[in-house]
Amino acid sequence: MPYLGHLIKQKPYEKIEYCLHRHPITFLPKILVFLIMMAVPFGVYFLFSNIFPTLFETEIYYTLAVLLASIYYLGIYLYIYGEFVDFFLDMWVVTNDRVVDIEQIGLFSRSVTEFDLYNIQDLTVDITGFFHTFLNFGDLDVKTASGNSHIVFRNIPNPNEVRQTMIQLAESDRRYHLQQSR
Amino acid sequence: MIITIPLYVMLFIYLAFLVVFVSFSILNFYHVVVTGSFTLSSFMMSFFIFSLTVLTLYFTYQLLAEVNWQQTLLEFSTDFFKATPQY
Repeated sequence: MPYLGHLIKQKPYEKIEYCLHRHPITFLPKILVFLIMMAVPFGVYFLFSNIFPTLFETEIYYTLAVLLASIYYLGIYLYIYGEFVDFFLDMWVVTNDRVVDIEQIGLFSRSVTEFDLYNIQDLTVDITGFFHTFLNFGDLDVKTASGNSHIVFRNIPNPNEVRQTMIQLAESDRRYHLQQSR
Repeated sequence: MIITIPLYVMLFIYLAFLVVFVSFSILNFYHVVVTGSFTLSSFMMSFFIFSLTVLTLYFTYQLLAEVNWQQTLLEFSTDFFKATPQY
């Protein structure tokens, strides 16, 4: 069972059914950008050493170039790590009692939304696009009976399977609450 | 009067950047740990970033180990402001 830290106080009877993140393929564009950015200093070095062949023989320019390259590389490590944290900390937790949406927005902002399973009225799966269809990932829109609040599970793997399970969980939670109210 | 800026000033700027880098990296790692997301994939990513950082710092040190940091980077002469125009 995943440890959910201090974000969710897990109730004693609560069982975590899903702890969902976005499909890993959605992180691929960031990795491609990272790889291109990693290659840029080599291109710049090649360009400068061809235009100014003696530039890096001067100790000052050489030192400045190394320090600048080092700062650039550390900067892009920070960029990719930040993007990973943003990607990985967006998660959706489905328990046998409730749905929790945790969204990390940058480094200093996080929003947490939750509602009880028995309030779920509508579950809509949206799989659009070649990669989404081929790799079976997409959005799952969870709406409550009031219609005021909804949570979107973005780019989760197997959204149809999650939807089916959530329908069953919502039904059993609704029955449980009906019995409690009698 | 001549004001000289030595090369080691750039080292101080670099160290200031390193402080910012370390602070933000710790903050990112803290987020991962505190939210209970410290799984194999997040560990692998954190380890990957940490390894790249160590390698970059090592190569930076290796490439700059022989540099004479006392040499002058820039030189300003205050005579520039005193100079009278020649007509």
